[in-house]
Amino acid sequence: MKKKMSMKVLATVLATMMIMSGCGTKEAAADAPIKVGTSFPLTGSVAADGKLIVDAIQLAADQVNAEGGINGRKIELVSEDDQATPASSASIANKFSEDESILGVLTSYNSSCGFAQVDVFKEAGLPAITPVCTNPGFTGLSDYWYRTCASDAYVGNLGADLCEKAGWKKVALLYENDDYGLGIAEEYKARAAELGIEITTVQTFVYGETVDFSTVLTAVADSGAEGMFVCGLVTETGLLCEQKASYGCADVGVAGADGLYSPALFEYGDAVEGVYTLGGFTAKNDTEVVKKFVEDYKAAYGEEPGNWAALAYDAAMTMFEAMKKVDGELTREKINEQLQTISYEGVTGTNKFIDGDVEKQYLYFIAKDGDWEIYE
Amino acid sequence: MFLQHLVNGIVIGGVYAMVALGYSMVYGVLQIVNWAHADVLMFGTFIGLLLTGLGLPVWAMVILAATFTAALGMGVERLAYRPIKSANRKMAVLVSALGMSTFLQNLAQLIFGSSTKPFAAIEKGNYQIGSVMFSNMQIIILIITAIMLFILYIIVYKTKMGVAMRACSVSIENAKLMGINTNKIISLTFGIGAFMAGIAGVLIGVYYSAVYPTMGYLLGMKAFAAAILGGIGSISGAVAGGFVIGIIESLGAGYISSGYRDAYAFIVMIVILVIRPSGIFGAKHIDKV
Repeated sequence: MKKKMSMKVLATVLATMMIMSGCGTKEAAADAPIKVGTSFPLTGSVAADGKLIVDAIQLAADQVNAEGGINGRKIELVSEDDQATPASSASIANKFSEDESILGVLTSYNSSCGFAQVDVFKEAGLPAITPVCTNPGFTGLSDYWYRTCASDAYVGNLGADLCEKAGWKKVALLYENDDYGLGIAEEYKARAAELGIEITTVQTFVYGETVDFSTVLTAVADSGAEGMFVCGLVTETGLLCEQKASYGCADVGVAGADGLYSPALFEYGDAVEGVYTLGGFTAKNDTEVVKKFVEDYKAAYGEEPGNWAALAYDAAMTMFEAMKKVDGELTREKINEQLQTISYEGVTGTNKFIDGDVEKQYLYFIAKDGDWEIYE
Repeated sequence: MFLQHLVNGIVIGGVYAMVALGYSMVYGVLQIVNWAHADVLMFGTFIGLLLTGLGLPVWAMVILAATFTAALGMGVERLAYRPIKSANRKMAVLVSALGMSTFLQNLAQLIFGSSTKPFAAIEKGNYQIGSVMFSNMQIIILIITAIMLFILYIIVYKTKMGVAMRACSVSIENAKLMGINTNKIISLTFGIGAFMAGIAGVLIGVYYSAVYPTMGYLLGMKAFAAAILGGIGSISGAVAGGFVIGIIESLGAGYISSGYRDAYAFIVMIVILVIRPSGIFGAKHIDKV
């Protein structure tokens, strides 16, 4: 009994101390830089995409800084490498949350990594925008989590529409065995049933590990599918295309989710000719904002921006825009309030959040001579 | 569909067998597991990719890449194993091997980058017999595997060097007393194992059209499972183990679920070890008191 009492006292003292230390935040100097955390894979098999994203965010920050920053304060990025693993992502989320100078976060390439962070940010009241985590599970999960990419629920639906458009009645469904692949596959199945598309076989592969698609492709050939819908990323889909002719799938078409929509796929040359995909951004779009972004990005990095770079740029700009709108002292809570109501016209369309999600106009693409052409 | 899975399994089994030989031969003479073996293979494959980029003909590329791999394998032995093996500290050798493996992987990431690179050394072609599809790469893998296994057989069983290698695997101390330069034989064993791994690496790199710094990990684990399954230290065991694992993996992924593809090799290894702890071809070990 006595022991319990003392525990209670201790807890109260600790809690009071924590609250007091929380209240007594160091007053940020008026011209101190605004810190924004980024958490993307910079090593490992998706490091190349991670770098594209961080580069695009850096470009956004540089542009805002060049125009005088946010109410005179410069933006400073704190870049961390999540190694595409949920464990690293969680520890980065804790680090950002504890560092009170960090006011906003741009984060996560893999949905699995995002799931490891979302609750940490919610607890810390730290607003986070992801340009890439598309899992439907994020919808309405937290008031502090936003995304500039569309949910897989939307992508899975569009994927089934794409297969119908390509004229396939029998489709083999292939998915990456994780949150990303499963998220799209579930939605795809539902929409395919509505459209009367028969799913002949369902096969899985492991992201970052599977290089041998012999069994998957043998099963696809055996099922008599006219096309494959791949819920996966560039490397696996590229390998799949490269190998499909060897296992009787030469005439089976390939369509993929937006994870495929990257120029990196063309490393696989002729094998990926005629692959369909969908995405929210194309550098061929000739609106004013897109033109300027493409020019600036090219000037900075010497190549055209892809889908992820554009979504990352929009995520960063939306975050900075919300910061600009805050009256008085800049706090995590005030930034979050702005994000709840913001409507920012970016390079990938309107960034306006409902339950943390956006609904954007998506386009269909087909691979032709080493480039993505709009498929209509 | 069964035949197709069988063909796919035999092809990949041949690759596992060639890699497994490297583990088994080194274990045979030194009783250590060369954990850096698969990473030496990965490095050799990257060299093959670079040589292809330079426009070398395929046969020259394969031989040069494998020769480089052999040299690297011997270098690893000279640097990471020889200085400490005399101390008879198995744990030190194990840690040294793991360190070498990590070092090579990170070095490859630094030099070549971490992304997966396509490896298109030959024009792909496909043939059909009945309902079974063959690619030219599959046929090349099978032929090269057969040639390499035959050459290895000649070296080990028909040459003086092979006699010396076999003597070392019975007892290093006695081999020394017989006037065999054991250091040279050990070095050669590493070299031969790595040469075969270099060829296997290039073959599998072109077959899947994928070369990446972590490619050695799963391949090495499965080949190691094959070596254990066949009875580590036994050459015929490593070959048999490679084919068994390749076929089981292919059939398992085809008929049960493709999601567990990489697990079947290890399930089979565990089951066989429970029934026959020394592996299929492993010698019964009697520890004399």
